[in-house]
Amino acid sequence: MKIWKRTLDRRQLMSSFGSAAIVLPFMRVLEEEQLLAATSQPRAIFWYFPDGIIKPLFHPEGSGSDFTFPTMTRPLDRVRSDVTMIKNVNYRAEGSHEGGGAYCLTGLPESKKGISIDTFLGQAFQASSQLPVLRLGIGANFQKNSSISFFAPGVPALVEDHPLKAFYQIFGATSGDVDPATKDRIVRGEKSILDLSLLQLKSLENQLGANEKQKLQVHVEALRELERRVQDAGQIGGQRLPQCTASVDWRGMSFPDNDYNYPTMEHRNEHFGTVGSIMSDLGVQALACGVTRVLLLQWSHPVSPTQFDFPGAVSISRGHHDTSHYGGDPASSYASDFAACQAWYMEKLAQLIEQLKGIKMGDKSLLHHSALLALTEIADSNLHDFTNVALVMAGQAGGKLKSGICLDGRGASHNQVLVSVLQAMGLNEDSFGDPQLGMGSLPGLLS
Amino acid sequence: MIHLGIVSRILLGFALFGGLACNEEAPLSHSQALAPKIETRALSHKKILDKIFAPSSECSADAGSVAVQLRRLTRHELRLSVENLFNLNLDIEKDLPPDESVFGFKNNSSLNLVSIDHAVAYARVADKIALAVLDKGLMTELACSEADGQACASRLIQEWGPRIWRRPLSNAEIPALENVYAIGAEAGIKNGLQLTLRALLTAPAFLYRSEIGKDGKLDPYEWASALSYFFWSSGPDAELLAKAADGSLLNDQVLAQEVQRLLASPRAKEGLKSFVDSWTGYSQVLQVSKDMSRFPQFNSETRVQLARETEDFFDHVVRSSNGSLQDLLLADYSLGDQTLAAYYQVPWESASGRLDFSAQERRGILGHASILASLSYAHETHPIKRGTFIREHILCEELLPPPPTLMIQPPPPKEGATTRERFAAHTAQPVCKGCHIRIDGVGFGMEDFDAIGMLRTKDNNKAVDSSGELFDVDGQTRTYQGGRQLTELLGKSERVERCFALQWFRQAYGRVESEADICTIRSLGSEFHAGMSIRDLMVKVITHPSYRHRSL
Repeated sequence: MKIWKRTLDRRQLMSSFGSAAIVLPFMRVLEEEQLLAATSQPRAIFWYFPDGIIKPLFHPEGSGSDFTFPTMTRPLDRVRSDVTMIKNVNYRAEGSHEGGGAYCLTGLPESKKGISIDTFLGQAFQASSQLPVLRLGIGANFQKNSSISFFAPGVPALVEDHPLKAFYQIFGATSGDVDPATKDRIVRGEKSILDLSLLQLKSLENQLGANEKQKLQVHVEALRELERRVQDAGQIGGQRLPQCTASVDWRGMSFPDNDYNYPTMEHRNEHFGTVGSIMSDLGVQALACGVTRVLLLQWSHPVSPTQFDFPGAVSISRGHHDTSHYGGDPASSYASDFAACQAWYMEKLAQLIEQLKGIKMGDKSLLHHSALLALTEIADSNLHDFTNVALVMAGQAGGKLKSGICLDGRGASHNQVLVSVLQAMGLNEDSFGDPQLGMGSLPGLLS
Repeated sequence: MIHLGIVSRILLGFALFGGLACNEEAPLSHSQALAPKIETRALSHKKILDKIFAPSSECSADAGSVAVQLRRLTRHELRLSVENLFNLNLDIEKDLPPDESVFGFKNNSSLNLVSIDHAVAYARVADKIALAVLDKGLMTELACSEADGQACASRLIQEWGPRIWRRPLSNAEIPALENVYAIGAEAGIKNGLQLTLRALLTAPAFLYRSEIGKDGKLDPYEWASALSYFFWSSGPDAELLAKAADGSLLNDQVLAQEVQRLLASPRAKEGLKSFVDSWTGYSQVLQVSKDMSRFPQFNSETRVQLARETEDFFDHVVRSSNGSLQDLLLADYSLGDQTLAAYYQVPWESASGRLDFSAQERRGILGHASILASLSYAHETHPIKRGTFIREHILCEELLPPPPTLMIQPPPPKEGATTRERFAAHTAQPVCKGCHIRIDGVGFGMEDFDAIGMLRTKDNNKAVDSSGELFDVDGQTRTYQGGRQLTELLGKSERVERCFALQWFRQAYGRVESEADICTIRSLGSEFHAGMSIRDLMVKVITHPSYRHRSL
């Protein structure tokens, strides 16, 4: 078992990223052990799995606290008191997989472009987070043809698939303790570079008039955020929990810098499960260490190519999306193949929920202080419809969310679920995405 | 009150493309009825395509879009730019966020923005480059000594600044760079130089190339970059920059010579690679999932060889033999080594490296296993993907998404059926037929080639049926038998030729065609159709008068 500790030596860092690792010396934050024990900041987790469901095999029978899990969701039975199973909620999306993907976190049909809820929450908590949003993927870019997260209207956000890069993104690196004079010089140096870039953007803006203005504004925003991170390095402290170790079990894997194999290590099908576990651990550590308050964990992507014959999966060598077209009969052997794939995902979800519950946050758990929303881009995987979609919530957002129930949404819009998440996170919002597609929270979800 | 960033407050006009397709006359669904009615992206684009490919039109010679834009380098372009600037082969591509593509084109400027993730990655990559450049002996090259200080920085800024930014430095930029150096140099000259290089390499002037123009036309430096990124996917060399500096690039004769020089350089292969990947997506062969128990020969080395085959062949047809689109589509040979010949099971000529396809159904670039395997499932072919590819990429059609009200209930898969039988059952229903007649009639004709592009006669122990119907192309519907006849029909199609010209337009202009581009594209298509090599088409596209017209 190989464990990369947060204290990596400089030589290792240089080989990966060069000395600009110093640019973002996040680790100082952790070393200084700034504990904001007084306030418990809720965390939001968006957990995506691909290609839809078979409704009768996913949605529980029953309602309230009296319900039974069918095949696909059975792994969630052991965490039933911590989840809310939502049924009869509809996506108001257009098209097929791509349209559902564009809608599920934005609340907007594909033809209207917006930012996704992870981006929105990240902006809301930007001033108090090292990383406003952390987006981790397991093959999210592998043969990707559409996206679910958008950092600017209609523009897909980067979801990091590479575990080692994700590690550095979360825990940064420093060459050790930096004395105040050196830190001052580094910060001034970084700012002088940003000033030059801003000078050029300003000049371009003057030349371009209204044209391409948005492109320039997005760039300026990015540089301002970079500036903030440089400025705040070592000063902003998230809420660090006892189980923050800032290390991760690499499960016997290593990710070479120069990987000239195809597909590359993190994208090889046989590593899907292992990389998934590493990424989940990284996400949990990022939350536990207070590095971010908003996590997107994206398993594959719409129209997923994953073959479920990797270690720990079921032996299905057909691609996931191919398997998802089970033919319409939930009792067929094709349907049970697909059910096995989705049940595997639900097992991973159950494991994550257990992990979050195992982390202490005050007298409760990290799970208690989180709002986790699990979803997929379409409803029935064979029909590609958007009614009665798969939605699982977990955690109580510090007491704002109900759990342990099966909730009938009675045909409500998924936009209301997104609003509920915003409200659970303490934001006073009445709509998200297109208000015409649904306003207010989902009745019965908030306590 | 929450402060929201600018990003959330502005609505960008960026288009996101993707998705399969169908019937346009669909009743409004529940969700559409709720949403304000707006024309879908696909439908408005289809209307533009219809005008581009219409039999006749009223076009005036000087019509054309004058849209200005900022084009962020793709990560491929960034790597090549660095490679050529510093003569440095650094694997920085994987350290940068992947580029989004629009219709396959990663150089489409609408989605190429700088997010915080980009900004962080650029900072790190620039630092890596700066270190490597210093390690390579930059100090010696600049004749810097430890005592030199500011003078050394000035040489770096004066000599390297204009090369990295592909234009002269402004009066405001020089002191800003000197300031960066001064702060860095507090920890030594080397540190100062490193920081200055980082500033140069993360500056918008390096990351973007502008197409803004001056007095209605691209300025000579913008023009030099437009040429070099089109032909080389990389920045201009010293010679090209010199011709921008003295203004001679604006002279038609000098321009013609420069274009030929750029095309003759080995770097031109990179420009061709970039195009052929946008057009065919052949490099997907490096990623596409395959059932390795069924196709053990499809290993990492084979994937690389198949990708190289397409790159070499395209370069050979375009540059070595000044070939036409017909040569590209109908060639009865390809290029590779002996292992590739064994893979394809064809004769191989060692002197020329030619793979002889004359006895096979396989013809031209559409017969390359890189493309056929990319357009397949892990364990079997994917006729819908293949058919959609031909319709969208080779014929430039816009297939509209299925209406939301369409309840597709395909019959369950059948044991023992061929792939074709399985897919035919999915789309046989009348409601699907309207669209799938276009897709399936093409995709089924490619069933001669299995999921890794190998020739086959049996599928699931039944004889392969590769009969097809090329529905409604150039106003005609023709039936055919097998991949070879299909390519022959496509090779004779005017639509295919005009589409090819349009694809080069997209590559050159870095955006999707708009209403204002219709006449430009029609004229390029007509000239190409009248008989022209691909190489000449490339020159026509980039030197077309409309390209240089820019105005705010």
